[in-house]
Amino acid sequence: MSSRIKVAILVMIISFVGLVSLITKHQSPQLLILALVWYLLFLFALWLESRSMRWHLKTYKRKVFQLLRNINTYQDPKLSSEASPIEREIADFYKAVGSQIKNTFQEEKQFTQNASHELQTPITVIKSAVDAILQSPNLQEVDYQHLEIILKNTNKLSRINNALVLLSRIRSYYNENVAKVHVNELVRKFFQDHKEALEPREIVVQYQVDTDLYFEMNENLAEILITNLLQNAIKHNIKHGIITVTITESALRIKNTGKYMDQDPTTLFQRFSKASNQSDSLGLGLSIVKTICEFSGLSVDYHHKNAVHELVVRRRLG
Amino acid sequence: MKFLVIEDEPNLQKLIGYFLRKEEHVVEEAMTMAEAKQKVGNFEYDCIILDLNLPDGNGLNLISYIKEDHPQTGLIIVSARDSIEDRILGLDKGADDYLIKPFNVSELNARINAVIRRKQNIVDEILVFGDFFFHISERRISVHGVDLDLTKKEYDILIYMVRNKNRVVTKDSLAEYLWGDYMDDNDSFDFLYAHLKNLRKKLAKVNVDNYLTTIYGVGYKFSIPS
Repeated sequence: MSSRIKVAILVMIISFVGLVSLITKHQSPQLLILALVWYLLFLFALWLESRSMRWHLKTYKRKVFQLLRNINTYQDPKLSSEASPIEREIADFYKAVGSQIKNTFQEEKQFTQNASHELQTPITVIKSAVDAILQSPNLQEVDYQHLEIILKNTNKLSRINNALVLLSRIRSYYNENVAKVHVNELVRKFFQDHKEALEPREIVVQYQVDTDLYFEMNENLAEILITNLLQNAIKHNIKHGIITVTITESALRIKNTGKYMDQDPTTLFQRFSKASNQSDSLGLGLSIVKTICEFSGLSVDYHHKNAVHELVVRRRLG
Repeated sequence: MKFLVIEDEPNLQKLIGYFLRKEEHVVEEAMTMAEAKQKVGNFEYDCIILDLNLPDGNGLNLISYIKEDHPQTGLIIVSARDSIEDRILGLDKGADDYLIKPFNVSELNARINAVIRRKQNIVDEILVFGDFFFHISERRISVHGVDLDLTKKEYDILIYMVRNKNRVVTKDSLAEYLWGDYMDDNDSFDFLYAHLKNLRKKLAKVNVDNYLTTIYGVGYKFSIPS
């Protein structure tokens, strides 16, 4: 189509130039009208061309956004032999940007995988060596104190490692074993398994359940998502605190009493972001939550008011 | 018991060997598939600990080789390959258990003890330790003929402790055993302390709370009091 437009434009330009020269020769009004008609046709052709350009731009814009959400959608653009130079140029641009994003993404994934894989054995070695020392009958109290520090920090390394592996795996696993996951059931199961987690601070759980809520997603990730959300609500709670779980047709809301927080809510989902007074926590829980949501067609929002914190997970539309 | 440890990382090889010898086992070592094949061909082992990532191939290929000649040998895979597929494949091929690095020695020890006892074909397994009778298949523990009234977690703690009897078990390893590795440090320790407090009260009622000693800030030990 576009090559035809090109020919048409060319014909129009030539005839327009011809007409103009005829008008200047004969000074005829009929010819002037004819020239005007030609001129309007010429504008119409230009408008058609720009519209097709915008259409191509829109198509590729949509593709880029899709790419940013899910790198696996990347495919080299296929062009018909009739494609206009403009379409070709946009497609080339998309190809350059898209393949670069894809490569960077894969390199990052590979790096995380390698790094965490290579860390696993050294961490095991340190843990095993500390365990061997611990069995010695001749240790002083101060030795135990030092060993406890090593253990605590090795454990932290190990958990950071596990969380990073999980973060990188979410991207590769989210579209496998996708099922209709019953959210109510997962919440119920969590509190059944973690009853004792509520006891030390005597936290009370309240339910406001209108209906059954289902998320269409990978089952393991769903469980990790719910576990992280509810653990978060327990961890940042206070003595005699309250957790309110609200389930509506499209959203799961988890509200918990806690401390006042002056941290910028938008940084909350970033990796290693944490409230300063909880230095033992890794600050990876909510970034895991966010990543799972991103890849599972869900959205997650955070609000807080008067030391009551709320996380809302919704099905994303479209 | 006679063990073969197939692991190519020399430090880990040494530490696993040290720990097994302390538990009074006989230990032989192999660093490669070829070495392992040769040893398995020539000797009989009660239990084999196998790392999958070996310099001359994937340890998964050794499993059927081992199981063909020695179906009675216990086989525990220890691997950094944490993919679910490998775990299923390993167990399908006949491995008895699968442990992912980084693991705790106490966890390995507990698994070894469970595998060995399973291999000895003990039905209605009763494990006796001092005044304690562990009726494993019934998930019940009794002292002086009286059943302890335990919660699930309290039962799990005691089982883990008896599988690691006379050893210092770190609280990290106990917490990880009870809740997996999703739990954050500070939480799981709070819960652990709460459980142990309750458990101690129950043990004190039948005068056996002195089996369970606290080792400073590090962990616990389950042993017959002197």
